[in-house]
Amino acid sequence: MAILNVWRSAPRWVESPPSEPGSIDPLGYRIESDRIAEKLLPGVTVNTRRARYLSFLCWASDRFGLDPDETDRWEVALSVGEWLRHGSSRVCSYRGIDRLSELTPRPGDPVKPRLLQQSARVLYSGLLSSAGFVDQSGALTDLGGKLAVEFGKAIGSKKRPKRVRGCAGLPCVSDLPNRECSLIAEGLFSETADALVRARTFKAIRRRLWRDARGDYAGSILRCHLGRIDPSNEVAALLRNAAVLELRALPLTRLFLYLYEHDGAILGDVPASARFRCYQVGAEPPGLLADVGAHLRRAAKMDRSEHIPLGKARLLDHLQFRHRQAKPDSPWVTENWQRLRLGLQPQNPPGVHGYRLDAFASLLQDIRDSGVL
Amino acid sequence: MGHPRVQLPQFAAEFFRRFPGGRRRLLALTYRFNVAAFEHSFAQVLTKMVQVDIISGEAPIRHSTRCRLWRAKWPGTFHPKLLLLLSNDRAAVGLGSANMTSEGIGENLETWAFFEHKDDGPVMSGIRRFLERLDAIGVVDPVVGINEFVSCLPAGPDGSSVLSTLEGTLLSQASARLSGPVARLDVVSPISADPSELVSSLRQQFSVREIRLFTNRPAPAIEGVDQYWVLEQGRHSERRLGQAHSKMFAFHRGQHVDLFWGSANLSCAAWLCKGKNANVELLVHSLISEAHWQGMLRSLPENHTWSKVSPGPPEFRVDDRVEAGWGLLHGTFEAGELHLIASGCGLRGLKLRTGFATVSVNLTFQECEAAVPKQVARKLGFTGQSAPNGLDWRLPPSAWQSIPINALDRLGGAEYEADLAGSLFEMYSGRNLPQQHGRSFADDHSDPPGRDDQFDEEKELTRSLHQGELDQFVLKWRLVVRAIGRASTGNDALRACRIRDAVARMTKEAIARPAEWPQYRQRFVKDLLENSWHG
Repeated sequence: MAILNVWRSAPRWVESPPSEPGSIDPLGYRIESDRIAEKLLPGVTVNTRRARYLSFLCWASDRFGLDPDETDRWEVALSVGEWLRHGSSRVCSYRGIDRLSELTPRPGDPVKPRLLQQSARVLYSGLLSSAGFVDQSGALTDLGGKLAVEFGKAIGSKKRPKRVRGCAGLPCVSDLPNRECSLIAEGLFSETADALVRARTFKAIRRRLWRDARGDYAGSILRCHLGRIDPSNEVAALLRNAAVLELRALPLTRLFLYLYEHDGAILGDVPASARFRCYQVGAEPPGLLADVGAHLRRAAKMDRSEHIPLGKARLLDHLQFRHRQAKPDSPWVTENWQRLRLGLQPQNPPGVHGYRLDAFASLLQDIRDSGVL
Repeated sequence: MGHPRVQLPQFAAEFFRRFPGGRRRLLALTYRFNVAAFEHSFAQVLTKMVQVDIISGEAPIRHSTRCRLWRAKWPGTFHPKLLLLLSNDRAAVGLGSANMTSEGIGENLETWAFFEHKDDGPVMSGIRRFLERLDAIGVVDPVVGINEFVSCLPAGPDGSSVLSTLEGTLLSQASARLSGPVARLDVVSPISADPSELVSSLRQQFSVREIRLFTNRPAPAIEGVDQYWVLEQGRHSERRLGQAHSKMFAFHRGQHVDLFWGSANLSCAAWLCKGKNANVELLVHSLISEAHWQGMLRSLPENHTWSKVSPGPPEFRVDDRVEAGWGLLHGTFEAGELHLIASGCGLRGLKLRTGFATVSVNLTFQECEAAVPKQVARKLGFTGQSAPNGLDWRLPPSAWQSIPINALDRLGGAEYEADLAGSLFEMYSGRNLPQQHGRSFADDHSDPPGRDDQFDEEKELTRSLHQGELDQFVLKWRLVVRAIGRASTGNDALRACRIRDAVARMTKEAIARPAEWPQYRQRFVKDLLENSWHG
């Protein structure tokens, strides 16, 4: 029998390599779109999509003061309650739906202390203050206090459930009583200077468009502002700027990503004319170059402040120039399109400013259903 | 005390930094491969001039312009996870449970170890034997050049510490290594099919008194398993691990644990089958203390823990991921013939496109490869003199996709076309021939030569403006010989393997371009390559 050798050591657990930061927005369009979004909807972010988290956080602030752990645990309990109620259905897009669907907790299981990396307490803090529910020091205002009382009515005298089954009776985050809706609407639209800006934006956009905005990444709102608009209407002018920015950001970022993945090689040229398919850009050539050309031509008609050449070689040079301005310290590619940083992808491919409008439409949906607006 | 961990990309980057050779290669064998995840994680390695080959069991989802992708020619499941690194004549071997996907590289609970020292001989020689078997039965395309790795690994006695299904069933190999009863068997493994038959065989074969299974939630009830533990996120965990994908089999015998770990799941396909229907699997046999094993189970990454649970109904989560679609991976244009390498076999009606033309063609892919008819290749611009370095393809009605042509000769993203001597010199020295295209070292991520590393012929090539074409030819091939020699220092087998490869390439080139390769030149180069060592 052969001599059997044995390795006298054990294997190791694999550790995750550190992730590379800053892998979004290769052309720097997000800064411009954020600037516009802040003028339209201050305090609203892509994550602030459910109005009742505002009520919950006011109640938690009133009840637990500065204890973030307890607030976060209650948030998880609310989500578990939603999971028992709705399962993985998207009818009520509560926080943690994917995670809970994966974990499939059973009634006897203990409630986990955390579900997601970032809690609602962190994500909604800006809007809480912008809507006047808390003051600069983080203390509840009168309005916030009233909202806390209303949410407290839904919770009653319940203690935080320790087991999954105990979460069944907790309130639903998308089912708001009228009183809560009107208090949230007051904060969103009339309490602070930010609220007045939001109210102005809300009024300038037709209700039907807000309704359509959900699920369409606000494309319908932007498409309506591509036409001729009264320049004296400040909101309409801002929306038009956003719409034009989208005409450039979407196709150019798509094109950049294609070049990034194909070492700068792309077959064909930008055709002299092509049908304009609003905010639809093909992922591959030749449709990609045709859509890029059509979008850029349309943008140039509406706004002459930025000239983008349409010849293929000069267009690629322009992309390189924009990229080097956006990422001066950590470019993704060399000037010859050799990749310096591999495997990068924007988290949200362009259309970035649309997401805030979409999130706001979602907030409106929560409070409009109760007939407040 | 926390147990040490390993980061796969960091080890590879560190290896190439410690050993900055001219000839650098990375070869990965994996069941699944995710191009984007691999390129992202191994960015530090891929921006260097390293030749990267990936051999996967499943078809990769898309092509890579940086790596050569190959599909293992194996009718069953090609399941090993192996990472081979080569710098000149130094090699490192890594193996374990991780696929080259985002989950494998950093999201799942995986086990892995690298070997590169003399003490690791039993493992290295076992891997050598495994690679030799793969090569012998044609699982890997010869163009991959697996022999180069084989030549760098030590040959050992028959009994290495590596078990592979190419040598018989894992159960019989494990039996040959263990004698006497086993008090307890701890198994860490995902479960995707009913392993009752295997569990029963393990119990019978080793007289196991107790079996504990460490797996994912929900743990299915398996006949013969006594305790079930599932992976749980810890209280202070920052990040949740994906699934427990590690595969370890700990046979407790007194104070010691015979640990078998690697790619094989607790499944009949991995442990009980042999021949062409079996999975291709790799396991390493380690001997560790009971305390070490217990410590390892306790010190999971990201503060995770094992929780004891009651098993659920015996429903096995069959891996329902369908096979990724058929696709072209890359192409080669050599000796006037265009060959396309695909992720699968069969007859395909393809549309092919380059800047020259778009053509429709029916190709039969045998062993994942098909030759494009010459007139079609010519239409597409693949002539004797020139060839596009990419090709678009589509399988109607799907969209156009691109593949690189001759990416095997394009290291580190180099996009110029060097002659054969230039390519070989670059391959083995990690830098370009000095006068070619006037490129600077900074342009192509190659390493500038140290003063002592530069060969006399390199200086000579640039020194005189009056060299004839023949002088340059001679100087270039002498440089190739020197580069191969330096990259293979002290390893005659490796040097011979590389010389054989260079001669083969030269012969192919001579057939393709007979005008540039008269007989006397071929004889000169062959003689130079094969005999200059003895001088």
